[in-house]
Amino acid sequence: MNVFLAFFLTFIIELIVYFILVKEKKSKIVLYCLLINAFTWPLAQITYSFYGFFWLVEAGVFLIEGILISLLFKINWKKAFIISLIANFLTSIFGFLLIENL
Amino acid sequence: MKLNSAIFILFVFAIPFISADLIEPGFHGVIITNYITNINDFPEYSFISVGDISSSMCPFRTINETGKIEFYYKGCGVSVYAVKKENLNINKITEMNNNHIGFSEITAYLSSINAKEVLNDIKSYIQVPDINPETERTNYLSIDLQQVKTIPDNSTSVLDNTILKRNNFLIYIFLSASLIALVTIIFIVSKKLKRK
Repeated sequence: MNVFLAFFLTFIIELIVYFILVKEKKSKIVLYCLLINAFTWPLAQITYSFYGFFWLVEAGVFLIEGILISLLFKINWKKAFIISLIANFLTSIFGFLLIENL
Repeated sequence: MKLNSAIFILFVFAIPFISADLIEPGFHGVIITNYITNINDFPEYSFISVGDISSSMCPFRTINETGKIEFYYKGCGVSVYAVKKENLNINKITEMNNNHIGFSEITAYLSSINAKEVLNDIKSYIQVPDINPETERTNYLSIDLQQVKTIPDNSTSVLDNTILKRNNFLIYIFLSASLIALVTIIFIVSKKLKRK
């Protein structure tokens, strides 16, 4: 799959989650979601491609995105980590279904 | 309430965890050649390799003085065993390979000849993402009869230069995007903190 398409897919799924779970202006949600994914996605790709450790990379992405969600949207840590968990879990499901059907 | 519904949905979807965060462009295979570097230090022993499936898929193989462990199908979890030379019957091993015996019988036979496992989880083939330029790998392992080793002492790799050049460019793009995003995030967060 094209790398830019893969990033776009991840971004859109997480954006939907943010729209549902975060109370903020839509423009800010789009911007912050884009920034968070622009930061974590490339690093995750590089790390996983060269070193593997899939679960460790996933855990790192979840933690970092949780922190960034909390800082940018000014919400408490618990809610931020739950949003991060849901967003990353759903991108996993979608990715799995997409790969199975290709 | 919204959050509780979201948590409920999360637990309903109990599906294997493969991340869309990590949808790679594709994969390619890396052939791995494994060598035992000190095989000639044990003149009273013979060394055999075998996989953890049936002998038809992952047959017994003897390892000669070069120390090279023969290539196995990627699904074989290959182990290397040290066997006293007087206990090893080559004809018996050939017979077991021809009779396609299962792993439990393999284990029973190894136990009957007092075979000592010295290397475990030896791989002949792995898949790596296309961004990884590695195409071949050689692992060097030394045997210690007192322990079971899984990690090579040393490895060398053959890299595809075309992939390397393309990847260097891609990596610069990725790192740049990441850095720009991080700087922007830091700027936004520091502005928010100053307003407090």
